[in-house]
Amino acid sequence: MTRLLAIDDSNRGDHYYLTPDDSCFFLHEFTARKGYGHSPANQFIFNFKKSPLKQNEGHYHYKRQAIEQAIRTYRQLFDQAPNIYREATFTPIPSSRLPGDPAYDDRMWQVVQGVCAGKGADARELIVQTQAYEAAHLQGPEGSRIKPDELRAIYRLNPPPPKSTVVVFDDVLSAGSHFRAVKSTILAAYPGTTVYGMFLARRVLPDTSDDFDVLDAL
Amino acid sequence: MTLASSPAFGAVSPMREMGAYEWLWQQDDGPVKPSFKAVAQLFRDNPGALPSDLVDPDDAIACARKVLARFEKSGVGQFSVRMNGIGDYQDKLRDAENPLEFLYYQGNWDLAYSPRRIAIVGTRSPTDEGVRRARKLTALLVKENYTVVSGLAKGIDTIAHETAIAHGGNTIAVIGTPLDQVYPKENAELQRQIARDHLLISQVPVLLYARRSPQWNRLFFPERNVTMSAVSHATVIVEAGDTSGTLIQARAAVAQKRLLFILDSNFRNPKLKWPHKYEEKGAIRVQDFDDIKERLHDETLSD
Repeated sequence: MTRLLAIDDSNRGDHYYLTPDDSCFFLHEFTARKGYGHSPANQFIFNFKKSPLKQNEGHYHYKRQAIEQAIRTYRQLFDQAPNIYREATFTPIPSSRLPGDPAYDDRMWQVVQGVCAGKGADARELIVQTQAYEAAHLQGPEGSRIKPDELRAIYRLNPPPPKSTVVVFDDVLSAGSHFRAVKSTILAAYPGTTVYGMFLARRVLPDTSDDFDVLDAL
Repeated sequence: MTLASSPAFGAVSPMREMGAYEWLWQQDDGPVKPSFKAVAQLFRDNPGALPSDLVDPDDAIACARKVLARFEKSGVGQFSVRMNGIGDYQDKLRDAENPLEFLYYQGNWDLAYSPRRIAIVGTRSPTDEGVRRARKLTALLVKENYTVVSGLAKGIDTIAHETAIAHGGNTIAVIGTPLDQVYPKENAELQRQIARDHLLISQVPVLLYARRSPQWNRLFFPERNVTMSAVSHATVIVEAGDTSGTLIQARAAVAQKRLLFILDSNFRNPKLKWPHKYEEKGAIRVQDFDDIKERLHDETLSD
C-alpha cells in the first residue's frame, strides 16, 4: 500500500521556507538532474510536468497517465480516513501562468477534481493568482526564486470561506514558497484553519535555480 | 504536535524510521545481537512492518535527534533515507540475502535506477598492472554510459570512482561507514564529491558505529559489498587475493544471480584459487572488453 511521507526535522532543511509548524506530506523524492529520469518516481514527475505546449507531441499521453496515477494514489490514501472529504476544503496551488496563456497548466486542479469526484467534498480553486509572475521572477537578481511574500501579494481567496481544514495540492515541493504563501493567505483571512500541504514529490537535490521553472520547460 | 506524535494521514516520518532503525541496532545487550542478518530476520518475522512499528516512538525520536546532531556537527549536509516498501526503494536491493530495510543516501538517487550499473572492485593494494587495468576498464565502461559502482575503499575502488568522474561518467559509492565518517581519510574529498554530484549510499547505523571500536566496525565493510552487488547489474573483479574481502562480493553476486566478471589476469596468477572456484559457479572470464559488453547488453535493459 502506498503511504505518504511526512516533512519532519530530518528533511525540512531541504525546503528553505518551511517551518516546524507546517504539515506537509509527499509521495516521492525527486532527484533527477540534467533531465535524467531513470527512477519510476522521476519519470512520473517528468511526465506529470510535461508542458501543455507539447500537447501535440506523441509522448504527451504520459502526462494524462501521470495525472490519473496521482488521482488513484490520493484516493486510495484518503479512502483510509474518508472523514477528510467531509471536513476539508481541497484546493490546488495556483499555476504560475494565468488562464489563456498557452503554457497555462491546470494539472493540479485536474488532480484535485479527480481525487474528490463523487465524494461530495468542497473541492475548488480556493486561491487565485491575480497576475503572472513568470517574467518578473526570471529576471530577478536571485535567479528565479520567488519569495512567499511576493506570491502572497498576488494571491486572493475565492469565496465562500473554506472549511476548518484545507488540503493544498502541488506537484514538487521545492523551497516551499508557494505553500507558505498559500497558507499565510488562508490564515490571514481565517485564523485557526488547519492547512496541510500535499505534494507528489519533494525536491531533494540542491539547485541554484528554482526547479519548477526548469521542469516546466520540459 | 509533539515530535513523537503520529503524523496526519497515517504518513510515515522518515525521522522516526531513521531513529527506530538506529534504536534496533543499539540493542546489543539484548538476547539477539544486532546484525544485518538479525535485523533482516526481524522484518521477515514482521512482514509489512516498518522500523517504527517495532520501536517506542520516544526512543526512536531520541535516537533520530542524536543522529541529526552528529550529522550537523560533522557537516554531512543534505541527506535522505530509503525504506523498504515506501516511496522509491530500489527493489533490486531485495535480492540480497539479508535485504536492507533502511538505508541512508546523499546525492542523486536516480543513479540507482540508471540503465547500466556495474560494480568495479578489487584489492586495496593493487599491482601497477591492476591499477592500469582498473583505469582502462572504467574509462571504457564510462564511454559506453555505464554507471560505475564501487566501495570508496583504497586501491581499486578509489581508482574506479576517480576514473569514472574524470571521464565525465556517473558513479555510485556504497560505503562501509556511516555518512558522517570517511574511510580511508584521504578519500574525504572524493566522498564529498560523490555525495554532491553522484550517489553515496550507506547502510551503516550511525550511533552504533560511533560507540564501537574500529575493530568491530570493520565488520561493516564486507556487508556493504553485498549491497554493492545488489544495486548493480554486474560485478567486475579487477584484482584480488584468495583472502580478499572482494570475494564477499563475488559470493554475493553469484547468490543474487548477478553477472560476475573476473579479469583474465587473475586466472593467470598460479597462486590464486578463487578465480577458478567462481568460474565453476558461473563467473565469466574477461579477456577483452567485449566479453563484458556482449554479456551485459541484454542484462541491463530491464530493471
